[in-house]
Formats: sequence, structure tokens, C-alpha cells
Amino acid sequence: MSGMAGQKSSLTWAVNLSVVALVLLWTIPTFGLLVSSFRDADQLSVSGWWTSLTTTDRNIVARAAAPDSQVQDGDVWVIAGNIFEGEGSVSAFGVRAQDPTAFAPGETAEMSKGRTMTVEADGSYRITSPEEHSSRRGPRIFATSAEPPKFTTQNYNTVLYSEGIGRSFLNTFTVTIPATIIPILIAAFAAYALSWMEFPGRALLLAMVVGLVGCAFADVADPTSQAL
Amino acid sequence: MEQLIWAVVTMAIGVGVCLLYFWGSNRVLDGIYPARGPQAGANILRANAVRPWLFLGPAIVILTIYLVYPVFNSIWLSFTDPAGRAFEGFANYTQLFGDAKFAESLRNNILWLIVVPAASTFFGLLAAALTDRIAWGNFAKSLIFMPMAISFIGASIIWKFVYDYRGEGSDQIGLLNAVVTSFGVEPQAWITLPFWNNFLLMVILIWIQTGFAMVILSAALRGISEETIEAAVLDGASPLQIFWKIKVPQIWGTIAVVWTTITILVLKVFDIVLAMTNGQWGSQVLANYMFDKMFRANDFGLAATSALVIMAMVTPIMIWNIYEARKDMK
Repeated sequence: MSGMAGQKSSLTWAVNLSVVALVLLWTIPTFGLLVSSFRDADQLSVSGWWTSLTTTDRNIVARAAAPDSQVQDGDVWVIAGNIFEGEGSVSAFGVRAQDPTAFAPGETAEMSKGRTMTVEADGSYRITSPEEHSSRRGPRIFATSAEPPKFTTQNYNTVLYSEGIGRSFLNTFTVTIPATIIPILIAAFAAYALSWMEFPGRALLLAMVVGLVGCAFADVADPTSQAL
Repeated sequence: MEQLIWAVVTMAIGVGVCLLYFWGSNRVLDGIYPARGPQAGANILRANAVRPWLFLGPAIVILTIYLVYPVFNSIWLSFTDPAGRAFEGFANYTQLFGDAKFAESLRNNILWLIVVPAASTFFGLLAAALTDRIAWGNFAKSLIFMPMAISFIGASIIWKFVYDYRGEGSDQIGLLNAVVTSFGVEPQAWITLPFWNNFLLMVILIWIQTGFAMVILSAALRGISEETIEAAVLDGASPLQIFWKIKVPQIWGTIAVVWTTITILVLKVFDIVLAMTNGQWGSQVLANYMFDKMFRANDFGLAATSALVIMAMVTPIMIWNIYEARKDMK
């Protein structure tokens, strides 16, 4: 529209806004995939990609260390440890699956048989019992962990170094490169013949070629796959 | 490394043989009928009679093997039993037209045929008309065109993230559900809603094809002669009038081409349905129905019959295309 006389539309801002809206509508789905590809697989399945910059709450179930690591501390037996392997932050915890957010970090929860459990915000826990802990496995700890935004290239690592990926890349190129060049070559020569050379049956051939363009791949796939 | 060498060799042989054929056959023809000497005139005439067939040869052979033969074979298969051997008459046709799933596919295909080409062309025209007027138009165009570069399966994965549904109470990770829940509406398992899910799947194809329509129509809009628009401006036409009464009539031919191209594509649509619903919840389409019959039910007869139905639906467009092509030739 440039260089046209008297064409300074007063609606320019409306046009700009509509284009912005269109572009956003058309790119957001792909952008979501892009963001998702950099997110941690665990976070990905519990929160939307648009929350990736905020902290997410994740419910985790940890098991305390086995009772054979217990130590006697005064008149109680204590199992201590940390529910996180790396870093983390507990926003609530509980001792029963039905009520995983019953206690705030730092509080002391009463358990059966006079035992108590304390989970600190940094994930360290301390379970005390008046008698020696007897069960083979440590008690379960239910915690809600507030996870900071976490971006990772792990997904790309997994894909790029997975078994057979090199072969797939190679196959893709082996197929796409000749499949681009050869049809163009064949079609260019055919098109040249059809448009610049006079020969009997030219119109019929052209009609056939144009008509066949509409052939559903289905018609082709069916008998071809049968022939194989 | 060995694989890489083989890949390069394969590509080189494929392209090389093709090039060699055109170059070599042309050389040989010139050798047999040299355009000099006492018979130069007659030789040129003879060579010119043969040359078109040399150039057309590969195209004709490939089209015959991969398009003409399969069509005729489909017709034969549609009259045979599932294994494609014994002749069965019209049994496949009666079975097909009695199948509720086929009726559903036919209905959905007609919906697709109406909605997708219309919407893609409309949005394409809108995007083309708007982006032509602004400074960052080319940037906007490339963003809108981007989905064209994504395979249908890839696009389906992208849109799975949009339509994803999580049970009530847990956070929605699908964009659409997140939007509706923020308005206080119940989250829905979108792609399982009978009838409406068809439209949600169509959105994916519209999203892909708008870029295509936009690029072609934008080129057409730029090809309009400035004089007609200037004349309209001087006559005091409003921008809307200029668009609908001056520009659109002049690119009508291009709109029709875009429309029919997308229509043909829609008739072949299958990847999106396969990836999103696989035809469940009332969203089956003909091409996926055919795929189902062929590779899951292993019924070649029925698959060929549904393929022919798809072809019958394309035929009017093919005839129209031929008609247009012939008009151009004159």
C-alpha cells in the first residue's frame, strides 16, 4: 500500500492491534511446546507451561531412612535425614496419605504409638519414638514441596543421544533431499515439454496430469501396500 | 560413518541417474538426428517430434505406476473379498453404506470440507490484507506461516498441549482448559465431546493452512494494479469498499485456487485425526476410516471402496481444475 496517494488510514492502530492478535493466536501453541521442551518432565505433567516461571507445588511421598539407622538420644529413639536428595523447600507435610498438608514445616506431628515427626522447611526430618523403631522400613512422609522454576536441557539430551537417532536423521535426509530434487527435475522437464513443445496428445496429457493431482493418497496407498 | 557414506551414495545415485537420463537422452537424440548436414531440416522435425516424449517419459511412467495403476487396482479391489482375491460384486458397497461409522465419517468429512477451506481462506485473506499495510508485516507473515513448516503429527502434539484435560481439582495443563477455568467454567475433556471435537480438530488444520492461503493471497494482492485502487481512492471509496469491491474481485481466481487446493488437502486429512482421537468420540473421517479398514481390519476390499468414495468426492474438483487448466492453455 506504500506510495499511494491520500492513503494514510486513521485505522492504522486497529490494523496493528489485529495483526498482533493474529500473530499471538498463531504462535502461542507452538511457543507452549517450545517452553514445555525445556521443562522438567515432573513439573510438565502437573502444571501448565505458562506457570513455568512461578513456583509449583508438588506433592511428594518420601520414605524415612530405615530404622537400622536410628540412634538413641536421651530416652527416645531418633531417625533423622532429609527427604530431598538435592535442594527443595517444604511448604506443608503430613503423616497420613489422606491429609498430606496437615502440618506446617517446623511443627511436630503426633503419630501412632507415641511417635512424633518434625519436618523442617529445608526437608530435614526427625522422627522420635519412645521405644526402639521396630518395622523393617522407615515411615512414609507426605510433603508438599514448593519447587522453584526449573529449566533443563535434559529432554534434548534424551532425544539427541537416544538409540537410533542418528539413523533417523540420516534417513530423513536420504529421503528428503532426493525427494525434493528428483520430482522438481522430472516435473520441470515435463512442464517444459507440455508448455513449449507441440505434439499430439498434449492437451489430453495435461488434463490427465492436472486431474491426477486430486487423487487421494488413499487410492494410492491401498493397492501399493497390497503390492508390497 | 558407513551409514553416512551410504546415505550420500544413495542420494548421489538417485539424483545423478535422473540428471544423466535427461542430459544423455537429449544428447543421444541429437546424435541420431543431427541438426546439420544435408537432412538438417527433416532431422530437426523428427527430433522435435521425439523430444517431448523423452522429457515427459519419466513423469508419465511414475504417474502411471504410482497414480493410474493404483486407481484402477482400487476399483478392482472394491469388488473383492477382504483378502483382495475372490470377486464379490457389490458386497463391499452394501457393507460400507450400511456402516454407521462410515456415515459418521462421511458427515464429518463434509463438515471439514465446508469449514476448513472457508476458514483458512478467510483468515489467510485477512492476514494478507492486514499485514500488507504495516511496517512489520513481513515479520508477522513469517510467524503466521510457521505452522506450515510443522508436520501434521507435530501440529497434533502441539495442540494436545492446548486441549489437554486434567481431572477436576488438579491444575489444568491444557491452555484451553486453563482459559475456561479462569472464567469459572468447568474444565472439559475437549476432544471427547461428540460433534464439537470435530471443530476442535479442524482448528488445527486451519491453523496450519492459514499461512499457505496468506502467502498466495498476499502475492495476489500485491499484483493488483495500483491504478484501479487509486481511481477508487479518488472516487472516495472507503478502505472496506476498496477491499471488497476493488481488490477481492480482482484476486477472485487466486482465491478459488487456494480454496480448491485446501479442499483437496482436507479430503486427504488423516494424520490429525489419527493422532488426536483416532476416530473415537464421533470424529472419524474417511481417510482415517480407510486406514483403519486397511491396516487394522486388514480388509482390502472395504478399504479400496472407501478410497473410491474419497476419490468420487475429489472428482468435481479435478474436473474443475482440468477446465481451468484448459482455459489457461488457450
